[in-house]
Amino acid sequence: MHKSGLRFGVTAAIPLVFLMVFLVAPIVLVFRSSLSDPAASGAGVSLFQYIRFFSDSYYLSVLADTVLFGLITALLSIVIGFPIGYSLARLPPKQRRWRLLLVIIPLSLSLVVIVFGWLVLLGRGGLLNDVLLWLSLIDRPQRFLFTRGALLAVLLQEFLPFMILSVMSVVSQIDPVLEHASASLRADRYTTFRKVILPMAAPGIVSGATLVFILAVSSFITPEIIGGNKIQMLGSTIYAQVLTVLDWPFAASMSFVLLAITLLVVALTNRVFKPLLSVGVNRAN
Amino acid sequence: MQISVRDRMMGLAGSILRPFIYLVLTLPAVIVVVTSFTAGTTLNFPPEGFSLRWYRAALSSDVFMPALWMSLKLACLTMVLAVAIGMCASFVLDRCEFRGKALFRTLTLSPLIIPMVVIGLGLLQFMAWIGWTQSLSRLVAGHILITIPYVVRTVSASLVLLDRNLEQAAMNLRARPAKVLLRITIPLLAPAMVASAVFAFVTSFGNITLSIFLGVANRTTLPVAIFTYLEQSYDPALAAISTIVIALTVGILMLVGRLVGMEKVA
Amino acid sequence: MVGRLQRREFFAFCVRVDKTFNRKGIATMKRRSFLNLAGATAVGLGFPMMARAQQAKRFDGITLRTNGYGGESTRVFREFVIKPLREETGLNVEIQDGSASGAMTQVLASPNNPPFDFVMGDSPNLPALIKAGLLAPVTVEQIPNIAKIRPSAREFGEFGVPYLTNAVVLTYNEKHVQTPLKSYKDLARPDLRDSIGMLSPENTGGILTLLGLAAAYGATLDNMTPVFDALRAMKGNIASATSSSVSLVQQLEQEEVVAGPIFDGRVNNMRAKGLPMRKVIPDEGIFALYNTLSPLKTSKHLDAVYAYINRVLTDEVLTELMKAYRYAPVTDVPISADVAQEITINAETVNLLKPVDWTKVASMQGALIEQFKKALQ
Repeated sequence: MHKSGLRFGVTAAIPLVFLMVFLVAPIVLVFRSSLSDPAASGAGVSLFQYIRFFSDSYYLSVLADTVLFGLITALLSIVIGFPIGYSLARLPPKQRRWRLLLVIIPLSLSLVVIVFGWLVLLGRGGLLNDVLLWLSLIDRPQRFLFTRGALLAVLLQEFLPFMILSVMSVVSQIDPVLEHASASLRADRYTTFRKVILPMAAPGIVSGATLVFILAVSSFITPEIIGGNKIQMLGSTIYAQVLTVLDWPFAASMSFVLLAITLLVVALTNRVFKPLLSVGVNRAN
Repeated sequence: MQISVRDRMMGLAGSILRPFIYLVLTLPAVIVVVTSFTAGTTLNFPPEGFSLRWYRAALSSDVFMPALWMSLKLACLTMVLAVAIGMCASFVLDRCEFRGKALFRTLTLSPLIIPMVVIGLGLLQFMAWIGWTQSLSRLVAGHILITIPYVVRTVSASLVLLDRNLEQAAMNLRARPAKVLLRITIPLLAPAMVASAVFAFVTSFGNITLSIFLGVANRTTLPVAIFTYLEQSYDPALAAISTIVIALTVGILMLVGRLVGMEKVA
Repeated sequence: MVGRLQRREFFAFCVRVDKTFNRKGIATMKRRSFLNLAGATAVGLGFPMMARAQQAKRFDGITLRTNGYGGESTRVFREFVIKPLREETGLNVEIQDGSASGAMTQVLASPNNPPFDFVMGDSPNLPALIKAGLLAPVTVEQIPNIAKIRPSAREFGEFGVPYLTNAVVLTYNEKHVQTPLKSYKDLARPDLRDSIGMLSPENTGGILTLLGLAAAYGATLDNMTPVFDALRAMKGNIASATSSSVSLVQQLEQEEVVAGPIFDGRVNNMRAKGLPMRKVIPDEGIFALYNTLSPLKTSKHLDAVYAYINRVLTDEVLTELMKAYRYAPVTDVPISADVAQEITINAETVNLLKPVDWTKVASMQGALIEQFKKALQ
C-alpha cells in the first residue's frame, strides 16, 4: 500500500494539478502585486506596502486584536466543543441524529441571518436583557452589542460546529472497549479521559482548533456588524481595501501578513501540540 | 467502574452545559424561524401576529427560488468533486513518504488560511489573464478549492487512527488492493467522509464572497441573493427564505443519515 | 423564432407526454413518429410567431449584461424596463446581482473584456472607471432623455447617467429624543450619549457624512483633521459605526441607537412602516450621491445600451423607482402627492444640494477609512 509508482503518481497528481492551477498561480499573481512599487507604477519590486503596514501602530493593533480573538475563540471552542463532540460520538444513533441536526443547522444559515438573530438576542430590547431583567439580575437594560464579549460569543457560535464535528469524527474511531478496559483497571472517568481518550483524540482536537482559529481570524462580516466597527479585525480591513478602496497591493500585503501568522500557528500546532497531546498513542502500522 | 467526586462534578457540569450549548447554537435559527411567521412588515422579535404571507412572498419570488436551486446544484457538484480530490490528497499524505510531503500538506490546507477576498481576487485576475470568463465552472472551481482543506483535514485525522491491520488481514485473504479499498477502507472512513462532505456542502452553499467575485449573470446563488436583498428591502421575506433553507437542510441531513447510516459507527 | 425558454419548455413537454404514453402502454404511436408529429405542429404554430417577429425587432438576438443590486432594484428594472424593451425590441438583458463594489472589482480586473455592457454604480464608483478609460461618453443625441436631467446632477461631464439622488440626512427617534437634531454638530450633544449610529466611510453614506461633518467643523478636503478631532471628542456618543446601511436601519428599528446620519430613502422607508423616525435636512446642507448607469466602451451593443438607459429616464420608470426607494429622481418628473411628503429633493430644497468632488474624495477614501477607524478605536 505504499509507494507503488503509478498509483501514487496518479493519486497525487490529481489534487496537485488542481491546486497548482487554482491556488498557486492566482496567489503568486497577488503576491507579485503586493510587492509592487507604487512609485514605479507597479513595475518594480519594493517592500513599500509591508513597511506601510508594519510602521503603523494602528494596523499592528488590529493584527494583535485579530490574533487574540482567534486564539481565545479556538481555546474556548476546545473546552466547549469537546464534551459535545464526545457525547455525540458515544450516543446511540437515535439520540445522536437529532442533536447532530442542531449542531449543523447554524452552518446552513446565511451569515447575515445569523447576525440578525444575534442582534435580536443581544439588543437593548432583546431576549437576553429581557431574561436578565425578569430574573432581577440587572435593573436596567445593558448594552451587550458592539462589545468584545458579544463578538466572541457570536464567533464561537458560528465556528463551534466545526470543532464539534471534528471531535465527533475522531472520537467515534476510538474503540469504547479501551475506555471499558481503563475503567476495569479502576481508573475514574477523568483519568480515562486524560490518559486514554485525549491522546487518541488529539489529532481531531488540534485539527478542529486550528480550523476555528483560522476561520475566526479571517472573518469580516461578523466583526463589522456585531463589533460595530469599534472592534476592528484584519479580515474586515482587507475586505474594505479590496472592494471599496481598491488598493489591491496594500490588501495583498495585509493578506500575506495574515497568511504568515496562520501558517506559523499551523506549523506550531503540528510540530508541538499534536505530538504533545498524542503521547502514548500506539499506531498499528 | 470507579466514580470519583471529580467525575460526578464533571458529569453534573456536563449535563447543564450541553443543553445550554445546544440552545445557544440554535437560538439565532429559532429566532429567525419564529420571526418568519410575522403578520407585520418589520423583522421584530417577538413577531406581531401570525401569517404565512412572507412564505408566499418567498416561494413566489423569482429571485430566491432560482437562486436556491442554483446553490443546491453548485453545492452538490462541489461536494462530490471536493471529496474525490481531497481523498486522493489525504491518502497520499497518510500512506506515502516523498520529498516535499510537508509542502504538499500545507498546500492542501492553505485555501483555508488565505482570506476569501484574496482568493476571489486572485482567481478573478488569473482567470481573466488566461481568458476564462463568464462561465459557471469558474465558480465550481473556486468552491472546490475552498472546500478541499476540510476534506483533507477530516479524512486525514481519520486515516491516522485507521487500524491498518484490518487492511492487512484482507490482503492476507487475497483481496486485491481495489477491493480492500472499497470493502474495508472506505466503509471505515465513512464517518469522516460524510463529515467532510457535509463541511464541503455547507461551505459551498453558504459562500458569499467567491460567488460575488466569480458569479455569472442571471445565475445568482442564494446567499448572494439574500445578501443583496438585505441591502435593499429589509423585511421578513428573508426570515421566510432562511426557514425554508433550514427545513431543506434538515431534510437532506435526515436523508443522508438514513442512506449512509451514520448510525453504523463503531 | 421560438425563443430559448420556449424551446426548453417544449422539449420538457415532449418528454413528459412521451413518458405518459409509454407508461400507459399505449404503444399505438412509436416515439419517433410522435416527436416528428409534435415537431411539425410546433413549427406550424410557430409560423405566425415567426412572421410577427420578422417585423424588424430592432435589437433581436442581442443580450446585454449588467450588474444589479438585487431585491427591489432588480425587480423594478425587470418589470418596467427589461420586459417592455424585450416585447418592443426583442432586447434581452441579464442582470448579475451583487454589490456595486463587487461589480467594479470584476470590471477593473478584466479591463479588456469586462463581463458587462454597462454598469450600475454610485457616484463614488465612477472616478476609478473613468481613470481606467473604461467608460463610453454619452451625449444627448445618443440618449435624448438626458436633456431632462438636472444639470447639477451630471457630475462627470459626459460620463455616467444619473437617475436617482441619494441624500444623507439626520434622523432621530421621536420617542426617545426630546430635542430635535438640526445640525451635524448636534451629534455631539451630551444627551445623546451612546445613542448615535452612523455609517463608516466604507459606505458611500459614510463619506457623505464626513463631508457634512467637514462643513460643520470648518474642515476642507485638504485638511480633514477638524472632522476626526470632533469624532474623537464625540466617541462616547457613537454606539456603532457600520458599513452596512441595512445594519444601521436594523439598529434604528430595534432602538439599539436612536439617532444618526443616514440615507434619506432609508428614513422614508422606516416612516412608511409607521416607525416614529423624523427626517431632518441638516443646517450644513444636503450632501448626496447619484445612482448612475454607465455604458462601457468595450460593449458591442452600445445602441441597445442607449435605448435601455433612455427607457430608465422616462417618467414612468423613474416614478416606479421613486416609489420603491423613496429617493428623488434627477429629473423634474411630477411627484405624486402620496410620496411628495417623503421625497427630500424637490423644487425648494434642490438648492441645498452641495457639490462633491468625487474624483478627489474617491482617491482619499482609503485614508478617510483609516483615520475614521483610528478616531473611533
